[in-house]
Amino acid sequence: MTPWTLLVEFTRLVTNPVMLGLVLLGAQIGIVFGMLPGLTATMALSLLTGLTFGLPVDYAIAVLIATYVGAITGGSRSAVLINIPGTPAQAAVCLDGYPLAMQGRAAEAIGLSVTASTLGTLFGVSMLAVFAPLLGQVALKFGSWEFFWLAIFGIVIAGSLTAPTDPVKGWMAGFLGLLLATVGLDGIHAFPRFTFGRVELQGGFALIPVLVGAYGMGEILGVMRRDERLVVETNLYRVLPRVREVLRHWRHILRSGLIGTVIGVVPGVGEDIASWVSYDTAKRTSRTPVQFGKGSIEGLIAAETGDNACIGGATIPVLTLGVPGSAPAAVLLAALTIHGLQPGPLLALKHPHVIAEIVAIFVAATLAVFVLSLSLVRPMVRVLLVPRQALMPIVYVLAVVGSYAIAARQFDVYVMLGFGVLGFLMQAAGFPVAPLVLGFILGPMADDNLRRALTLTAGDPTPFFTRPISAILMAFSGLTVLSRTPLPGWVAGKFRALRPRSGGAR
Amino acid sequence: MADVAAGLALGALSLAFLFGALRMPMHTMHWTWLNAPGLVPAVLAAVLLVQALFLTVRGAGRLRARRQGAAGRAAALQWGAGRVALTLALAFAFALLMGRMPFAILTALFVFAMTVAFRGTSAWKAAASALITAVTVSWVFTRVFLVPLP
Repeated sequence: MTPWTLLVEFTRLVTNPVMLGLVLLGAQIGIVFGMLPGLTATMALSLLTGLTFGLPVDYAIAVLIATYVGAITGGSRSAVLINIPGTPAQAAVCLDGYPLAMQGRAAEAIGLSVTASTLGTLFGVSMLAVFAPLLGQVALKFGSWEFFWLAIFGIVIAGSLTAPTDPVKGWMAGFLGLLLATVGLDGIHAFPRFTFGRVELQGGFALIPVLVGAYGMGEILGVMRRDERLVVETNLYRVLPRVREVLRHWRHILRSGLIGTVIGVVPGVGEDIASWVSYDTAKRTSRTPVQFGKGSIEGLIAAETGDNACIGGATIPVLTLGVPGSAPAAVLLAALTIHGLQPGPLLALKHPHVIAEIVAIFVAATLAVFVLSLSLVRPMVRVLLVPRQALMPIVYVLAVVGSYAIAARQFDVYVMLGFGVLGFLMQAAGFPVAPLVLGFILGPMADDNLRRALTLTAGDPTPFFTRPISAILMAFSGLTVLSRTPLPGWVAGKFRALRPRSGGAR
Repeated sequence: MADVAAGLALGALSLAFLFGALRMPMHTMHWTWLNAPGLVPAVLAAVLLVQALFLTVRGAGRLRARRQGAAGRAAALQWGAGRVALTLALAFAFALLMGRMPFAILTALFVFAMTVAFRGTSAWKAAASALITAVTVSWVFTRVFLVPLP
């Protein structure tokens, strides 16, 4: 992909009024979903994937990408105004955004957060433009052995990072996802597995109902469980973009952009972790760390840049490996698959312009979100005050229609409900949902490639451990698991116990 | 308690999957055990079973014997169990009634009932919201997105 190709795609996009209208519509839907606590970016994308199923592929992808960017950016609004993150990605934004609002600087905080988000998204998208083709070339060298380990690596790392206090639960969620993905006709021999003679189960659980259920229905139940009313206690005056003020912190922007992008590339981790790591790094490197948590501009900018840069990073493995970098990216992957663009190493070969087109949509969506975020502040605050108990019934109807629309099957609605209850119960018991969904997506990759690899080598497992990329992925997976067990602490304790003895011998 | 319950539930589920996977033919004229359809589900179910056992044993170790009674019920109410049960009841009713009555009417009734039941807003506003949602969703999806609604 050359800059020229990108420019051609961008010009084609902005000169198409329908496309431009859809980008604006998606951006606005995303902002609303992002700013309302309980409605997440993943839920918005899951609902819209089903709802835009009838649209041409480029229009549907434009809506989804604009919604993704809008939701991740819009979440800071509620974080600043009511100290509740609109999506999990903005949890770190609350720490300094809300204190700024309490100091009467809410408008300034929103202006700063939108500007930092825009710069972060553009940073991540530029990384996507540069590295997606390169990683695509590397991915072409992947065989069945590497793809098997990639699937395992994905759920191990996602399980560790989304359940930091109890990684076993994260890994269990991942393996449950892998296991549930085996329901239906198997990918090699079309043998029916766990179908109990039911025709509906032969195709397995469809991805969109699973996603809508796990993220959408689970969130609906989570919101309805609590009886909360939101109150905005701060006044807003004119919000202006704070480009110059933000650019004064260019070191934090570059660092957080890089952190966000790298975390985005790691399978299944996502924007919330990117935001926290960026915030923590900014605090460690700041000259005024005591200001963090009391209304630090640096903290706000770092968190916002990090979570938005993650968008581009999370899209890199989607396009090149067919592995999602975050939960919303998992839905994007599903949407691309449903529309016939099989993401993975062959995507760039089969559809040479698609990466440039996606990058162009991302840039247009980022600009649309920037303009909409700064121009519709007061009406959006009114939307924020709509009781969520009145909003959730409408969201549920959309979840049902979105699940039903893909294949016009009542069964998919039941699947959505089933996975909704499962997701809700898992969250209530402290299990993260992201590894479950990631496992469900990566299930066929792990299943087919393990058996294909064993068949190719007549049962010899050696290449799993000797092929360089395969060995690296296996080592990373193993080390990730080992690092979260008591073993490293036990070994360190033994070394500490040995040290005085060796000193004494001298 | 939650860990023990989750461990037992996931242990039972993985055992069912393991049993089902082992019942699949491992060797036919089309495949050997190397690419048998039951190979991967069996391995995954075994791994999940080990993890579930670990979670159950660890949870049981941490579990303090305590009486569940009035305090347990109060905690469940405070947690919002009643609200979750009502949401699920309405959601399942909506799903089950789909196709048995016109979608627009079902949508209007559902949105109205749920909004009023959870005191989301006043009855008039709930009725207006229900009507607008029913008409908009039905019109947009059948006419614009060309999605056949039940």
